[in-house]
Amino acid sequence: MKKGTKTGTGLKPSDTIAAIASPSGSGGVGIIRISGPDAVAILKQIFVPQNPKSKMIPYMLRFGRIVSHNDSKELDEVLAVYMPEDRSFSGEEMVEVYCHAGHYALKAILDNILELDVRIADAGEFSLRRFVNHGVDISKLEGAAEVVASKTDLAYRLSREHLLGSYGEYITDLRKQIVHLLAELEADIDFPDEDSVGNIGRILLDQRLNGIIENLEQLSAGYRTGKIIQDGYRVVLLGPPNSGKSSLFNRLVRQNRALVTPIAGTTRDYISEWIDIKGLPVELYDTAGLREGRGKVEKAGIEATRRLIKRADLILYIFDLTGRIQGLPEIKLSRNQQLQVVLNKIDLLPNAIGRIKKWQTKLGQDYASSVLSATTGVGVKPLIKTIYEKAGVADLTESLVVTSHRHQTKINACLKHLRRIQKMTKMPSEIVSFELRQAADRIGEITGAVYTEDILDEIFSNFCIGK
Amino acid sequence: MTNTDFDILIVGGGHAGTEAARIASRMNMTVGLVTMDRSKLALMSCNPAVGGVGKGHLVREVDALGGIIGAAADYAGIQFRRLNMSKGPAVRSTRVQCDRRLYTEYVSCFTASLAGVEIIEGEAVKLIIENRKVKGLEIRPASSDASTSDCRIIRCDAKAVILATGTFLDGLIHIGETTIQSGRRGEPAAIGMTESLNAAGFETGRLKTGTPPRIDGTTIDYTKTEAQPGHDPAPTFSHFSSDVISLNNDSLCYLTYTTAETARIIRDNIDRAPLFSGQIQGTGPRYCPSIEDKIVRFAEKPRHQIFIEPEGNGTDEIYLNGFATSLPEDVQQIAVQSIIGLENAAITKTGYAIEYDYVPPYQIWASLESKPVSGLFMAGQINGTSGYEEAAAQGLIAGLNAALQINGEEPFIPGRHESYIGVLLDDLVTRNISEPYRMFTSRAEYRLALREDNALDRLASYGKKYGIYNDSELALIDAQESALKEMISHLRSTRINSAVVKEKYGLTTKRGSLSLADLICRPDFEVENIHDLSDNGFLENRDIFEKAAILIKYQGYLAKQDREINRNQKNDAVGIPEKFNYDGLKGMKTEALEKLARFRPRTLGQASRIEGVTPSDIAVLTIYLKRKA
Repeated sequence: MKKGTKTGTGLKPSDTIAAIASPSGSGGVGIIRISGPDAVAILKQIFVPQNPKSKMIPYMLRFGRIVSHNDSKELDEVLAVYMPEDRSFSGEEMVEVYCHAGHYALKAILDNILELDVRIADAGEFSLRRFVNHGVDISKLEGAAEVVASKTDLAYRLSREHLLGSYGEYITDLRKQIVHLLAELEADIDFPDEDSVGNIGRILLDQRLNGIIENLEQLSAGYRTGKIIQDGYRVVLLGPPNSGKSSLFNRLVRQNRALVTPIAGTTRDYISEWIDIKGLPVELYDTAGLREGRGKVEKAGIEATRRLIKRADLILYIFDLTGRIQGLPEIKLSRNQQLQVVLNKIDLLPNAIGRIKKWQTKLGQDYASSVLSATTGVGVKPLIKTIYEKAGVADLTESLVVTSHRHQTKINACLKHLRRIQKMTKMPSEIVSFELRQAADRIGEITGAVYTEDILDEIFSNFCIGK
Repeated sequence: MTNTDFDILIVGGGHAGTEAARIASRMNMTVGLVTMDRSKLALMSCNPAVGGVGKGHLVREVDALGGIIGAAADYAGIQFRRLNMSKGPAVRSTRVQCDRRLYTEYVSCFTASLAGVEIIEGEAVKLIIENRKVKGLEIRPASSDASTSDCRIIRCDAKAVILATGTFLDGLIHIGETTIQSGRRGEPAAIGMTESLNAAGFETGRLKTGTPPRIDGTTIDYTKTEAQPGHDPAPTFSHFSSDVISLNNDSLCYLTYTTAETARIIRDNIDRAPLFSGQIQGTGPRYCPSIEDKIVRFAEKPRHQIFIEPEGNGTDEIYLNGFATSLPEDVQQIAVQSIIGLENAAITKTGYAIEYDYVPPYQIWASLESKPVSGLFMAGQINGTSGYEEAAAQGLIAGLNAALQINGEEPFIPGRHESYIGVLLDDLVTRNISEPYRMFTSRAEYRLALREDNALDRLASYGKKYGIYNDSELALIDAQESALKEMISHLRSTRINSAVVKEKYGLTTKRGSLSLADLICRPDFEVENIHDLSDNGFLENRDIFEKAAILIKYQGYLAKQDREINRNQKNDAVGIPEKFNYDGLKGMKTEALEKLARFRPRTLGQASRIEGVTPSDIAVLTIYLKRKA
């Protein structure tokens, strides 16, 4: 029998999918769901159980850490659970990971998973797999079809609505640019005798490509903006005891919530407050000093601080300008984290230029510092401006904001293919076209598929083909 | 006629019909090939060339499955070229200019000598259908005169009928204001068959194509044009029949241009062009527009390329490629003489447009069997395609599947990932064909895997399965397979000292030595240079070496493509029953339901490629299929 005419074979999806399953921006726990034949294998690659002897038992929660699959860097502390296919929601091998709800933790873990052989789930796909895999009562099937249709249609409508605005116009235009570039290449390949095609040399190709890449990068950055607006920008105040962290915290939130005393070590755990900087929501954290404490309470506070540092977007490291001149302690920053040094208590040293210079020499060129007084407020406005700039959000009134992680994933995948073309200058055009086609396919997953007919239409409307 | 009872009857002796006869003969069928003129089998009605980008791939595939077109082009070839050499191995394509007379001679002799094949001169006027199953044909023999003796209509019986009627169904030629009922210049149209198809429940549509005037080559001033020679060594098509090649690669084509005067003449006479006056209703191909179309649509273009191609060695006649037209004869004359080098040119045959009936292919399965009538197959222009190569590919598939059906076997439907033939078949059953369909490499999403060089590797397993190869062909296939393996291991194991590499090519490496395969992978190394480095006779088999070098150099991309194929194959493995009922399915958009009911896809993959069917429709369809399963 010919392959493909038999009904009922191959219906079981064979790939593994993953997605964030908890609603965005709500609750303290984020859920990542993985479903498919490799779900457990994937978990094993990234999950280090606290108790190395613990075994994977269905429905048993295990505590441990999620680490990056390529460099074993810790991403978050989590609970993980495994559900076998006969007792899971989707009817496939399934894994759920419960982590901190912050967007970055979730995204970092999901991105890490997606780098393995896992695909991001389409809207409604877990449900679809459930219907396909579980022997569903036939009388309920029509209802199921409606549910799936409405789910996916809703997703479709939502994305359509999303695509109607300026963001939509922008991304549709990008798709057009890629299709146009493809048409140029394809026309040259399929109609080598024509004199009206084949004019796109490497230089022009690169020019156009650079333009598209730049736009996509902006979009990708816009996603960051979108997420910061949704989740907040996390600023953590660090520094030696009595450098004035809590004073600055208070100055910044204009509230007197942290306990301020002249005795070292009184802020035992961290406290946080939201402030608004020109529409940028900033979540400000005051911490215990990074000093090895002796008491139990203090130790717990320091542990909490360490975890907080990992999730910070910006660290403000505060020194007492009048205190002992010292360097920064070693703090490991990830790619997206930044650090700003603050020299506090300028009010106590009115003619401090010489001393500021000494501090700066000690700290090194890499760390430009803000000089201010948390007590009088001198220099605080420039710091606020610095925080806003460090957040790197585009002008919030005009920027295009990508809010869907799915879109962000597609945009980045598209970028990956385009950058590959940029890198390889000796690629024959069929390989350039191969990469470009994939880039178009990824964008097409946001805007609607790019068909050969679209490319042919583009060719025949732009070039005089006639041999 | 000695016989009136056949396994298979084929209507039309063109590029599709003759391939169908050939493969059916290989499958030990008895075949009646109905043609109006037995001296015109596989006539090149338009340009005198076979192959080109995408089309060359089809020729190699048809040849790999035992077809005629490749060997015929090699035999009749007068100039051989390989296109796209710099653009990557998958899009390199062979094109052969042919001697039109020799080509037809070769195919006619060959077809006449095929075991079990009888050529019936005459016109098929009616399909005989009982209970939605084809039973045979009514044929009016060529020797009978319709006006005096209608009674001389013969009934032939067959288990399967293949319609490969080309442009003959209600063919209507346009030259200026003049229209002539004709299937090809100087030949009568086939009038009864469309009616017979409509009566059987088929919808038919109308397409248009055109051909340029032919010119007396002795009246052309070639000094004003640019000569285009063939390539050396001459690339050929056939995998098996190198013995028939009498390689002749000396003929030249010439490139010239239209002038501002050409544009003026055509614009001044545009009201007399049937294409613009409303006289022509059928849709023509966008990739092959008439010169009047080009002048109007691309008015800003100062000149258009015209290729002067020889029609053969024994004739002075040339083909004016790029100048298809249906303008009146007097306008054609002055327009031709406005082309550079053609100031004194004499037209030997006028250009014309032709409209003909086709059967929009949502009415066929991918096997090329019709949906309304079982045992009835369609191939070539009747399915809305254009081109000798596209026709040949369908002829092969229709002939093979008719034979398989008679033997009670499942049809052969190659996938999009393994052949251009598969792309063609799948496009026919999932796309709206509204203009004559031509193959382009851009239609093949898995293009990197579908190369001319590996056509046989991709398809030999099917050829073996259906038993279409003879012993010497089987031996050749096996020999090539092991030669490729040996070549690859030779290239991987032969190491060259890096000092030699540095001295000869100025290429540096950190390692002490490099294998030939390492060198091939380097972007800064010209693969051709490998011949300096290896002298043990391995590289003398140029084809095998080139194939091995491609597999080595592009292995990363080929692996990527393979992964994509595997990912996308899932939906193609999910079957949809032939009679699946789309009525009243809930959860799907009306547009999707209408399209699905019209095309009746046989796999979820086909369904997903139909325009207007969204991923959410496919998700819902999956659920209903689950219920049926």
